[in-house]
Amino acid sequence: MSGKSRLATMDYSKGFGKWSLWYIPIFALVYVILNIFVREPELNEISFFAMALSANRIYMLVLGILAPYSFLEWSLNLGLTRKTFFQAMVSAGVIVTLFVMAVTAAVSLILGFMPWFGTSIPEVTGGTETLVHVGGYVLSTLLYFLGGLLISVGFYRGFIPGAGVLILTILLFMATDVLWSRDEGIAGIPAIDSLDLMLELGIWTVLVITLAALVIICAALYYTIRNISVKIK
Amino acid sequence: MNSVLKLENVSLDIKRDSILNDISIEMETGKIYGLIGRNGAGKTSILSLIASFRKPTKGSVTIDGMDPYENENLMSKVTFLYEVDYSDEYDTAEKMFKAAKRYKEAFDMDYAFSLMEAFGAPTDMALHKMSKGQQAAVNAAIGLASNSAVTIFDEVTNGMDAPSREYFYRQVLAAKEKRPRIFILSTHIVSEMDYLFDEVIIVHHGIVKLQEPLDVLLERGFRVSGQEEKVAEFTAGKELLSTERLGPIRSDMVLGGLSEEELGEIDRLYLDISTVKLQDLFIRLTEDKEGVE
Repeated sequence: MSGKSRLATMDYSKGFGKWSLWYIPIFALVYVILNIFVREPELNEISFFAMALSANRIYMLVLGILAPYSFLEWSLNLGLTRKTFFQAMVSAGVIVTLFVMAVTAAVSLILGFMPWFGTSIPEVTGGTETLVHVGGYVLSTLLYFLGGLLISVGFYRGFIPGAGVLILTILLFMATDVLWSRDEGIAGIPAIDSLDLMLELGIWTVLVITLAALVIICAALYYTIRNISVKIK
Repeated sequence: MNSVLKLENVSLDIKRDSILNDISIEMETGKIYGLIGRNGAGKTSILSLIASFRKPTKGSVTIDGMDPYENENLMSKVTFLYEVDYSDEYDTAEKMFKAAKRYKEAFDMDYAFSLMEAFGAPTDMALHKMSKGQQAAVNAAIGLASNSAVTIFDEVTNGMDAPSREYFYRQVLAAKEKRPRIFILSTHIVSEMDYLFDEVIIVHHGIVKLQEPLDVLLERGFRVSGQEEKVAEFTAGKELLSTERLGPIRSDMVLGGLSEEELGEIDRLYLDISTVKLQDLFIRLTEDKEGVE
C-alpha cells in the first residue's frame, strides 16, 4: 500500500468512524426504548449485539452507497488515482466493519450488566457456534459495505451499469445470507430453504464461498471505478 | 521546474453528444492562460480532462510527455478549483488546508492562512455557514497556496466582492512571479481579468477558435469613432464586427490591422482609433454569424 493509499484509508476510516459514532448511540437508544416499552420475553432476552448484527449490515450498506458521493470527487481533486481510491475504500471498509462490530460488542457488554437487557444471541448456543455465527456476520457486513459501494459507483456511471451491479449485488447478498443463515425460509424460495446448506457444505466451504463473493465484488468494484468520470455539478 | 501541458487532437464524447472536437492546446510554465468561451462551449470539459476527471475519447493529454490519467505523480501536480455547492460541507477552511497539505507536499499553509485573512474570511467556521464570497475565498486560497505545477481556476471568483476579486488577481500575478507554474483561468468576467492573461484560448462549440498571446489577439481588431459619414467612408469594404451609434457619432469595431496609409486617412478624416477590448473581441468572434472568423 502506497503512502497516499494509507493516508486515504485513514481519512476515509475517520469519516466513516464519525458517522458510526452517530449510528451506534441512536441504535442503542432504539434498543433501550424497545426493551423498556415492549415486554416480550423473546425480545427482552436478545442482547444489543445480537440485534445489531443485522442492523449493522444495513448501516454498512448505506455507508457504502454514500461513500462515493462524499469521497470520490474530493479524492481525485487531491490527486489520488482511482486505483488508490478503490484500495483505500476497501481497506477502510474492513477497518470500519471491525470498528462497528467492536463498539456494538462493547456497548452490549455494558448494557448486559443491567438487569433490563438481554445477553443472548438466540440463534446459537455458545462457544464455537457463536464464533462462527458472528464471524459470518462480520464477513457479511463487509460484503454489504462493498455491495453498497458497488451499487453507488454503478449508478454514478449510469442507469444500465447501476442496474447491472445492483442485480449482481443482490444475488451475492442472497447467496451468502442463505449460506450463513440458521433461520428457515430466509431465501423465500422453497427449493433453497429445504436445504440445510451450511451444515451440508461445512464451515470451511461456506467460508471459501463467502470469500469468493468478496473477491467477485471487489473485482466488479475495481472494473467499475477504474475509468469512472467525475461529474462537476 | 518547467512543465509543458499538451492536448493533442483531443475529442470528448459524452453519451451521444460531441462535447469537444479535435482540439489541440499547448501550455507552458510561467504563463497565465485565459480560457474563455460562451456557456456550454466546452471550457469545463477541457479543464476536467487536464485534471484527469475524465478521459478523452480520442487524442491525448500529456504533462511533460506523460499521460496524467491515473498517474499518481502527475495527478497530484494538478490542482483544479471550481465552484462547489458547500451547503453540506461541515469542515472548516483550516481542515481543508490540512487535508490539502497531507496530499500535496508543496501546499503552503502559512500563505493559505494569510490569504484568508486578507480576504476577510474565517478559517474556523464550517463552510456551509459561510457566504458564497467567503467560500470562493477558500477555493482561491487553496489554489494559490497549492503551488501546483498546473493550477486551474474555473469561475472561482463567482460570489466574491470587487475588492476580493482585485486582491485575487494581484495574488495570481504575485504567485506567478514567486513560483512559476501554469495558471489557467476560466472566466465569464473577461473585462476584469484580461490584463492577467499572457495567452488567450477561445473555445466555441467544442473547438478551439484560437490560441494567441493577448497582445497579438488584441491587434486583430481596432475601434474607429467619429462622425457617422466619415466612419462609414473609412470602414467601407472592411470586416465590421459591430457598429454603435450615439446621435451623429458612430463607432465601428473592425477586424484586421491598420496600414500606414490607413493611419494617414484616419488623421485626414479626424477619426479616433483605439484598441478593442478582449471582451468585445470575444463576443464578436463567438457570435454565430456567417463570415466572422
